[in-house]
Amino acid sequence: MAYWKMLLIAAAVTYALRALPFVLFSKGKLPDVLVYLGKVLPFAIMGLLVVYTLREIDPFQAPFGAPELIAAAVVVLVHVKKRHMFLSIAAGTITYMLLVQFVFL
Amino acid sequence: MLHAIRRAFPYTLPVMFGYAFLGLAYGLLSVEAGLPHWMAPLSSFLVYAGSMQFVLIGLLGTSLSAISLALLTISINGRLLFYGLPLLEPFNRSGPLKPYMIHTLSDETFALMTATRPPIGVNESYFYLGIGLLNQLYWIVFTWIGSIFGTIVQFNTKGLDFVMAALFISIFTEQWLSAKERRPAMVGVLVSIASILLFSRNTFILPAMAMMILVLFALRRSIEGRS
Repeated sequence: MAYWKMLLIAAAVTYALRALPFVLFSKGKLPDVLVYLGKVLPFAIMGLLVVYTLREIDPFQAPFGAPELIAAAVVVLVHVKKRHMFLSIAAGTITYMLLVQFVFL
Repeated sequence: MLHAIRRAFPYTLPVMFGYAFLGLAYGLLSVEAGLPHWMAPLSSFLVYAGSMQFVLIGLLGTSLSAISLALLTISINGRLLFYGLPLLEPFNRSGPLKPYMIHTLSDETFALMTATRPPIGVNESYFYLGIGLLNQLYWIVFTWIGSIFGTIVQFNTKGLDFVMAALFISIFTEQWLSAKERRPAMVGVLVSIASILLFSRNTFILPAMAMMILVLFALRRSIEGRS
C-alpha cells in the first residue's frame, strides 16, 4: 500500500476514535454514568500515562530503573514543595539527563 | 482569540520540549526510511498520534490490507476513544472550533486540558483551542525540522525524552494533592501495572483501559456516595 494511503487510513481511524464520544453525546443531557466516568477517568488515565512512560524500566536488571525512579521522585518532591508544574518538570528532566549522561552510563 | 492562545502558551511549554526531542527523532527516522522531507510534517498534521506515526514508518513496503491497518490503528490508539468524555461540555460549547479541537486530543493535549482551568477572564474555547493548536504546531514543526536537519544537528540530548514522563508525573502529583478522592488515580496506576504483568509492556494499554473502566464502575456507588 502506498504510504499516503496508509496515512489517510490511520488519520481517518484516529479521528473517528477521538470524535466518537462527541458524535454519540452531542445533544441533550449526558447519562449519569458517563458524567461519573468523565469525572474519574482523567485521574485514572494520568496514572496509566505515568506507567506508560516508565514502562521500559526493567526491575530485574541493573540499574533497576534507578535513573527513572530517582528523577520521578524529584518531580514529585519539587511539585509537592512548589506546586509549580514547569518547575517540577524541569527539575526532574535535568536530574534525569545528568543521571544518564554522567552517573548511570 | 490571540489573547487566549497567548495565555495558553506557558502551559504548553513542557510539551514543546518533549516534542522537540521526539519530533526530531521522528523526522530523522522518516527521511532515513526514504520518505520525502515533507512527509513527516504531513503525517503530523493528518494523524497527530506519535506512536502510530512511528509504526506507520515501520510498515513501509509491507503488504498490509486496509482493514488490518484500520484494526492496528484501533489497537494502538484505542485509548483516544475515552479522551473526549471529560471534555464533552467545553467542546460542545465551542461551535465551529470543535471539529479541529477534537483532532488535537493527544495524550499531552488531554493531560493539559483536564489539568488546567482557563484563567479568569479568558475565553474557555479559545484557551482550549490554544493548548491543542500549539501542541500540534510544535509537533508538525519539530518533525519537519527533524526531517531536514536531523542528520546535521547533533547535540547531546540524551535523557531529554524524560520530559514527557515528567509532565505526566507532575500532573498526576497535582491531581493527587488537589483531589479529595484518590481512588481513581490509584486504580489507574495499579491496573496499568497489573496489565503489563498480564500482557506486555507494548500491548497493555487497551486491556488496561477496559479493566480500569470496569473497576471504576464497580467503585461508582462508593465514590459517588462520598462526594
